[in-house]
Amino acid sequence: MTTNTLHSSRFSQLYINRLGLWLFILSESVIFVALLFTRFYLLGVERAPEINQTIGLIITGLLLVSSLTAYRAEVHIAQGNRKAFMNNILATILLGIVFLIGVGIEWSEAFDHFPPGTLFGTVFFTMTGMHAFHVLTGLLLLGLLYLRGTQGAYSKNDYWGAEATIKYWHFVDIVWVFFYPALYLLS
Amino acid sequence: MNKPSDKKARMRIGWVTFIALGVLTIVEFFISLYIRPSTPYLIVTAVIKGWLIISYFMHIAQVWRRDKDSK
Repeated sequence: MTTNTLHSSRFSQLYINRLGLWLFILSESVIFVALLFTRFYLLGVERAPEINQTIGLIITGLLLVSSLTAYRAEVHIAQGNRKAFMNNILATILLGIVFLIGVGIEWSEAFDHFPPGTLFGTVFFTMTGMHAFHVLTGLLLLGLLYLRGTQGAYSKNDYWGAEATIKYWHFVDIVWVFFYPALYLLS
Repeated sequence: MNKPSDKKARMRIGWVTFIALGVLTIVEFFISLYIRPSTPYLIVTAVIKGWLIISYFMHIAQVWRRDKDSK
């Protein structure tokens, strides 16, 4: 029995793909857990009183809505409904872009109140910067997904690329679920 | 998974999860305003939110239910 035959008898390719993606997500999460621990080590439970709570709440809401549209996209492609899939991916991309604009606005205010040279500024810009970078890479992947979708890729029987990208997007959302209270709400 | 009834059920799960996440976000916002110390409560709400996303949006159960979900 060859190695390939052994693998196909016990694990489907899709299962192996999913397991690999989860391991990738686990390895990525180590970075963010380290950043969270660093935040508590350096600042305790203190935060800057000048932080813009309104923007924090709005961009958190945007990311949550984008997770719903990403989820809906996956459900639609699993049913073979390409048009709804594309619409939801497009909505997710737009929400992600607005999220990044919100982070940009927050950064422009943060430079005035707690610049990167201060302790809270260092923590804030590192955490939000690392997260925003992952949002950006997620947006690039979603853009690629949309582009390939327009070219006829993905069907109800073959949508692993879409599933993986959407799972990555949810991961970016989970990171923010922990970063939002750590940066904006703790006191 | 490809039956229309499954689609309705999955859409409902998506909406319920989203609403739960929204409510918990509002709850943690008010916790930060009115409860001192807020840290333990905020950690609990964040963990619940993370678990909801991992369970219902990311379908982590697929990892240990491979026979049923794998194509």
